[in-house]
Amino acid sequence: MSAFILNRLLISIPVLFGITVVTFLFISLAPGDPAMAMLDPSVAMRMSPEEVALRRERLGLDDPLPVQYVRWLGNVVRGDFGYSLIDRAPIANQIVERIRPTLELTLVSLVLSLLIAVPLGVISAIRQYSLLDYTFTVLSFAAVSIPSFFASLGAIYLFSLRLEWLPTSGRSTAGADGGILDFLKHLILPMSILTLERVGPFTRYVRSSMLEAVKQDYVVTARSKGLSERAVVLGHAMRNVLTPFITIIGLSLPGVFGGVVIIETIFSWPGIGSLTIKAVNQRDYSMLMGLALVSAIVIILSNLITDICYAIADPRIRLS
Amino acid sequence: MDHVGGFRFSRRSLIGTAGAAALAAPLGISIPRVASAQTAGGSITWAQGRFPLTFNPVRPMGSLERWVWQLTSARLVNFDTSGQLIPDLAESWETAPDGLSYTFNLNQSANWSDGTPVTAADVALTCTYAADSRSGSLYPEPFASLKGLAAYLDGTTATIEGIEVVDDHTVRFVMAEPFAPFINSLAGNQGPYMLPAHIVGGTAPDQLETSDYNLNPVGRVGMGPFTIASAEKDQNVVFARNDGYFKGAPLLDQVVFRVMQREVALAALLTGEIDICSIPGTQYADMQKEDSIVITSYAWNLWDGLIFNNSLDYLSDPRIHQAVLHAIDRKTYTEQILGGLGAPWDSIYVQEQFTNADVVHYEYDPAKAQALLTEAGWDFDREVEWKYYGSFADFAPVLQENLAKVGFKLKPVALETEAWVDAVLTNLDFEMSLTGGNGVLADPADLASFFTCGTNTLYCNDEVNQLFEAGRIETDPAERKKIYDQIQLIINRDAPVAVLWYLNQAVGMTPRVKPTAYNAFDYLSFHTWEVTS
Repeated sequence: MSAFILNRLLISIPVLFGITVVTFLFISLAPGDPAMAMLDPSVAMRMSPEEVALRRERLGLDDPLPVQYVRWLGNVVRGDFGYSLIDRAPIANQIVERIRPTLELTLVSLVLSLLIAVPLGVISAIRQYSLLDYTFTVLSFAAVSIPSFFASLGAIYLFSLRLEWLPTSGRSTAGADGGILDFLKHLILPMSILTLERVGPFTRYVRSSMLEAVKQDYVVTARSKGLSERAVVLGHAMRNVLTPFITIIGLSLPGVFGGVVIIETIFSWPGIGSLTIKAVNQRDYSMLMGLALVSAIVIILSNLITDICYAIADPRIRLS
Repeated sequence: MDHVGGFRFSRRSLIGTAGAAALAAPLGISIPRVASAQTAGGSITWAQGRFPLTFNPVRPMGSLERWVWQLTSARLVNFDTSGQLIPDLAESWETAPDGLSYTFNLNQSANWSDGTPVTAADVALTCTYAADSRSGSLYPEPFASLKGLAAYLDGTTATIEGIEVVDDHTVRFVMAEPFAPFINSLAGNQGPYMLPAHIVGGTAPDQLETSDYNLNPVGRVGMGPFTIASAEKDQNVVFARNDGYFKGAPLLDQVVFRVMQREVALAALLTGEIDICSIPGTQYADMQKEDSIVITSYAWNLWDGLIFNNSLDYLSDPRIHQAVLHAIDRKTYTEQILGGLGAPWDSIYVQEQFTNADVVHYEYDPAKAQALLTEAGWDFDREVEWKYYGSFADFAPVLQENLAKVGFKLKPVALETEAWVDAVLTNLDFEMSLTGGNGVLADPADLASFFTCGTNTLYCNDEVNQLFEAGRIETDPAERKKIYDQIQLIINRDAPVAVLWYLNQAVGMTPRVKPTAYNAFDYLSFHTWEVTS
């Protein structure tokens, strides 16, 4: 196992290198200039070419692309992610600051959505074609089909504007120490929308895996041994749904760390997702490179963890 | 709170514009003048479209950054609501008869929030940074004529000879050549806010942006009516009152800037979750129907216009520009789409004191437009690309349809803002485009960067060049007015940029907020704001 892990980690070094080269190229090819980014167009229009050139030189954007890339790589290897091209603050700090808010949102909603989706999926499968199954199916399709921006704005309209139960956005009430209760009030809306978005596909996933499992010979055997339905489902069928279950979680992990762009943006939640979209809009190349590197590492690590979990959950899988 | 009204608006604004829920542009704000007796204290929350991009005072990228500085610092002079100069840190000022030097006498009661007196050294340091682009300064132009600037920039001297500290409370600026817009530009959007020399002094200009003072603004020393009590990136900035403010202790305890999406902010305003929020022109009429908020509009002195690529032969004929202006039904657009927040306009200056009454108004007249196009030999088979960005999306179909009626084929091309900057401003790759929010930053001379040769409009007229040059050095106000009157007439005739309309700013507030003064240059006297309980 440890040889496998070491091997995978070594392979990921050239993978990461490739990802950063490609990302760097694409970012540099996009139209836009960080020297003028975020300036009002009417202000940008007044800037003389000399001023723009000076700004580009100060931001180190005048060097040839390979030189810029090697300089960036050299700094990253030494642990220096550099400074934002827009607000000039250190990038590493900004990314680290965003991880906690993102995890608050994504981890809680991942756990909640699993807690909801697994029972629903199992019930749907063992009561296939029942009214309950149809109801869950319709609901989960509805949850999948409603775009999150629409659900978010609809929720703000209903719960903030109409009922005035919850704040419209933000992570806490600014300028007032509201404590944990204040934080939870702010968390409820974005977290619920994200949970809703995930429950749909998760339920469908659990349902189809469960349907496959209950048709297996060993389930028939268990039933013919005279075991109770509860023991058959939970003891025999459920355990074999574990592998696809790990896949779901494994696939969700990058999103857990990478944040959710639309929901974070609408609710002004200061997570990685809103940081990413901000960096794109601002043409903050160095911030984007930092974020790309971090998300590449997260994806590689989540895949590795998923593979290891497979081997633990299913002894038939051998890692080599 | 009027809930029924709230629903009607909100459905349209939240759901109807949901698709356009792009990252909001910086929000603007205004202040109605209300005089009534209130108790001191309280807090107001003001929705902003983004977190300040920088806390660097010589890089005021937008209104938001300027407001942060007005809350926490001061500059030499400001404009009042009618565009007249009023004191800020400088109590009085004199211009030498030859127009070559300006002397400012500072308010002697001004102290930094740590108790250190504000002196001429602070002004000298700040203006040195502002004159030097290496500090990140966005507007070095006002200081470009200072004596000894070149020697300072190339490292020959450590300070700028033309910035003289006469005594602790007197500072003099000496010019190498007359620069008439100087004081106006200190009061307009270009004017720098003061930095404390005893804190940032010794910071090399190219280190200012990454200095601790700029990157960690919480609790830093300032001299405005408020200080920054806390700041959470992309969430909020909280300002706490500074009782030692030299114009008198502020009435509010706290001002909160809260980062919100525009659609969400409008909803939050209706529930009273926030107190202030700018109102986009397209929602101005709807929001006015709300009883739970107070909507105010104020002159912003800026105009929107169409740019022609004047370097292309087929688009450089003034008759074509005039035809396009005659073809557009500006009155209907400003009344119906912009809800009356703007009105058709034809001069490049909006402020009354600069405007020339003889400017020709191009009436909506499709027949005349068609005749002008024919006269100019326009090729009616030609299709012209019009590159625009987000905020003009409402205008694109109107423009296309208006021009189609006179046989002018226009193909609107929507670009993301930064891509538009790249195409139109950097690469000059366009046939027709637009310019939003133009006008003077402080002084009519500002538009030289628009209409002289070699600028982005690609317009080049020797007469206009000479007039702008004359206006820059002419110190007699009456003579200057004549010069800019003439410039207006030439631009009005050639229409290298077709001025469409001026646009006012609208702001919505909860009724409890009692702000007291405003002007078109984002200047707000925050210490006089108050709230009723």
